[in-house]
Amino acid sequence: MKKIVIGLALSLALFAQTGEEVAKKAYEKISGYKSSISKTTMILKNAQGDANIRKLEMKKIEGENGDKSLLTFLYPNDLKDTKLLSFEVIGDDDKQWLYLPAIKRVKRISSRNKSGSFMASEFSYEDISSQNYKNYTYPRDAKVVKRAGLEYFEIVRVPKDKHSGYSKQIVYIDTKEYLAHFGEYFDKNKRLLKKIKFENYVKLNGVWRVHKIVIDNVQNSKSSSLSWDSDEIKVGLTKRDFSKRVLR
Amino acid sequence: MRYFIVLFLLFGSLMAFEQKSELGVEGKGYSQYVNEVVVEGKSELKFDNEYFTTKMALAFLYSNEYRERRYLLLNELYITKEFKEYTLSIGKEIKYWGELEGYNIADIYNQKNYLKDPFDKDAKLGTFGVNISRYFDENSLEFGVKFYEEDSKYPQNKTPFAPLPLEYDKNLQTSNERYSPTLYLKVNLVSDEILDSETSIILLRGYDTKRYFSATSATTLAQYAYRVNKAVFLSHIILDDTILKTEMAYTEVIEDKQVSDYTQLSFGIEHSLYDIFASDITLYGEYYRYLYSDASKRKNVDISELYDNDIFIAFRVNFNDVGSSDLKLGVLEDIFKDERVFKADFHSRFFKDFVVHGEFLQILSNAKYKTPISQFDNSSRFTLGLAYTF
Repeated sequence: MKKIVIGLALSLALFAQTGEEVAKKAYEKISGYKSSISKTTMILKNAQGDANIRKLEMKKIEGENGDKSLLTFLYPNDLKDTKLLSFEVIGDDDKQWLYLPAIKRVKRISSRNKSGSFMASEFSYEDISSQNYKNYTYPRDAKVVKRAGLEYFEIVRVPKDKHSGYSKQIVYIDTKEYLAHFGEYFDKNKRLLKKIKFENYVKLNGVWRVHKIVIDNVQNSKSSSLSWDSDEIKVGLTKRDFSKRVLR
Repeated sequence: MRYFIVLFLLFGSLMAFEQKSELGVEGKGYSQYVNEVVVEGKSELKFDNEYFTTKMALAFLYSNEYRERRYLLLNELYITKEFKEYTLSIGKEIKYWGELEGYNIADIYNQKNYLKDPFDKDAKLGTFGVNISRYFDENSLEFGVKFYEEDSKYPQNKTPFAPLPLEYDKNLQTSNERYSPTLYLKVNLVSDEILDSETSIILLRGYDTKRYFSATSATTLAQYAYRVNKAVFLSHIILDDTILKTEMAYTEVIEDKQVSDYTQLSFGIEHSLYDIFASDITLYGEYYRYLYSDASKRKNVDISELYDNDIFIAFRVNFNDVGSSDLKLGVLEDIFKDERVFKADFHSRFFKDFVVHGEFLQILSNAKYKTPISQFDNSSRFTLGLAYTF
């Protein structure tokens, strides 16, 4: 009887949460890294399964009004040392600068291209950005659902940015650790566009870090994965490491 | 210089270094010249330690047909040191100053590499100098000195796109001492208060990058460099998916009687369209104007003077494919002189480390006007190349 009461109380507590509350808790689990340096490998697969590799160094720093990031392309060789500096601005367009090493040019780019392909992959720019919960609205409460015998919060989030490539996203967050594990992203015509999986979570200095993301485009049968080869957090980067002086 | 390179390499062996290289072969077909096969390469080395960063860039070019188009060039060799908000850089370096795509009025730090390609605005020669930058968040202030003016090779009258009627003497003639320094101050200001914009002002005193040719004998011509005061303004404003750009310069000639003071103006608009059949398309429209303060003095001595009452219309398609394929098409049209230059360019990667590229260039000039382009007549070239990157 006691078990039933506790189970009921827990269920009610879980049901009582809004989508935003769950999303906020999930975001807090992956926040607090302060700054990070990671090396990643991206594998692009076409419908026939042929693979193509990209390698990237990612530097990030947390900020109150959005994170800043510096991506340096390491491979393919013809793109090596190309850099993308991005300042996320919550509730507004991000700012982005591209450094083209062959001509030493720093070019400001229009950053409304949220839905565009990142490095020819199935990831869009918004897929690889910070996933800050404030970038979305949550039209309904979180639902507890079972998938493969495990309990997840199912939350529906709608991007606030009208330039987003998505009409809505359904994300599944585990009820114990509040970590996102998989999701479904819908295009502007409300058709399922991509399925995403967040894998290989590791806890570094008290902060959960995802170390593999797999995205399947169900409309063109292409897929891409992003795996972390190395990852360090709280590495002491400062605002200076994300100013335009680094674009050289 | 040799000792410097040896010292550099010794230092390099003690430090971590990164390299990036490219080796390619191109076939070039010309409508009015003998075709050629070109082997071209470049190698960039970067040495890092806790005190400073050193970068070096070597470039070589070998034409089977044109002896003048053969060189091995140490195009960059410089050391950079960062101190808190300051960055100091010394050595031979290439910089990019500009906003527009067709031609950059503001890009005055380096001489163009005319031997590589007079129609590639990004083919440049490194300049020896020192500069220090102070950063204030996104704003910056840079002061620099170019040490001296180097001799510059130029296409001779036996090579494609050679505008000279006489033999070329590569020994540069100068109005003052060759080692008179050229000084510049560059202020860069970023604003997002009312409009999201970025503006730079450059003040320069010293040798102009624009030069003219003077006869050194009855059969030879050499480049002549003279000193100027120059003020340059460049800016861009972001409006949604559109970028508005401008570059302007006023040049006051200090000591030369043959060339006039001049003003250059350019305005551009860039608009991006995303996810059009999975590709991104960027459209460019630009206008250029060149004004002489004294119209009776020498004109049409430099390629920069082509950009007078000209409109540049272009587009670029990024196919967003695994080969990072990219197509650029553009036309430069002189409004009043009925001259135009058409250029198409394509790049794509395949087998991971190979890049294939093609280019078509067509010049339609008007013999009625003695512009630099009229000396090329109506001509075209076609290039197909393959490069290995490692």
